[in-house]
This record gives sequence, structure tokens and C-alpha cells, in this order.
Amino acid sequence: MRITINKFTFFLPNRFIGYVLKKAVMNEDLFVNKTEKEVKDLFKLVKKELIEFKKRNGRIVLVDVKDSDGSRVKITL
Amino acid sequence: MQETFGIRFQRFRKAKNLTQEDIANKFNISPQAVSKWENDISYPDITILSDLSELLGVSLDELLGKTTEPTVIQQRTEPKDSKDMILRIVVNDSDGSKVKVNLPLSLIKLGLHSNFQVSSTGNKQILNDIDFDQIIKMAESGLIGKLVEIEDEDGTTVDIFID
Repeated sequence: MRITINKFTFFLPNRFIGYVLKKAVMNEDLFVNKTEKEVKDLFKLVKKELIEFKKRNGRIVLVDVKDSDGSRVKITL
Repeated sequence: MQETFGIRFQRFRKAKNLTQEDIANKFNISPQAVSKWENDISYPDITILSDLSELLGVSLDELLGKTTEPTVIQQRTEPKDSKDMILRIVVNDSDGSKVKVNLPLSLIKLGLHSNFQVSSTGNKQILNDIDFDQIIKMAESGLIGKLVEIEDEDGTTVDIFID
């Protein structure tokens, strides 16, 4: 997995994808009315699905955000 | 505009339903190397070109773009498995920012089946009104391409594609 923030790219093992997505999503309180365990279980499934998808279809750009001030965040699996 | 090697190679690869990893495994190279070929950053070693054309089911001339005959690519007749479909959401905010999210359709289904409620976040309220269940049904019935195009009153646009 690679995370690009502006001009810097960080390479992380794919096993961190669940953690990264959880952090990215939970910071915005995207999910409501769910217990911590339910969210944790969901992200385990998400990680599994994503890794299997990548095995079948190759690299995928999950998120690419370009802000109006020129900053950019990109997450590629 | 002339088709580059990378674009041509990717077209042949997809026509054979092969992933970059399939190619990489076959030739003991990294998927990144295959990605570089497709982006015309580097090219395959000349010693594997013959095997590569054989794997892709095209002649060496076709692979190198030296043929004048149109290449016939067999179209996929059966609908693509929904497990391999991608839902792409492109949001062009009126303030100039742009957000692209590409997620496997299976993940969207997983989220919907888990009954996770998505709360409104900032100015992405426009996304909350989209019926993703309906979009999944459309995709599973074989519809692909741009399925949704919305423009907010403030100029924010949301496009949803299925690939």
C-alpha cells in the first residue's frame, strides 16, 4: 500500500490497510450507532475484501483527494 | 494520436482477462514493472517479447504496433462478475477541491448489508441522498459506465461510475 501526501510517498505493508481506513473514516465519525467491536469486525472484512480484489485485479487507487489549495492525498493499494 | 506501447499492452492484457500480477508471476517480475510498461515508463526485455505476445494471444507485430490490419478483440459476452467491478465516485467541489474514491462493488455491498448508517459529513450531504442499493442493482444487471450525475445548487458535482 502506498500513501502519497503532496510530494511524499510512504510505503506500508498491505496489512495496515484496515488500520489506515479505520483511522481515516473514524476521524470523521462516518459511522454512527455502532459498537467498537462491530466497527472492528467490519474493517477486518473490508481488509480481506480489498486484498482479495487486488489479487484478482491488480493495483487500485482507493482515494485521491486534491484540495483547492494544491495539497493532495492519495491512497493506493 | 498513435497508440503507445503501454496502452496497447494494457488493451491486450485486459482482453485476455489477465491482471498485472498474472503477467508478473508468469515472467518472475514485479507487478510494478508491468505497471511501468503500461505507463510507458519502461518496456519489457526483448528476450520475453515472444512469450509475452504468445501469452496475450497476439502476434509480435501487433504487440509492437507494426500491423496495419485492425486488431480483432473478442468482446466479453458474459457480464463481468460484480466481485470485480469498481464503483468510482468523483466529487468536484465548488471550492475547487476534487475527491475521487474507487471502491470494489463488493465493499459497497458489504457496508450496506452491515447496515452501517452514513452520517452527513461537512458538505458531502449531496452523497447521502444517493441510493447505492439501486446503483448496485443496476450494476448487477449489466449496466456499466456513468450511472449518476448530480449538480448541487452551489456547483458541486458528483459523478458515479461503474467499471
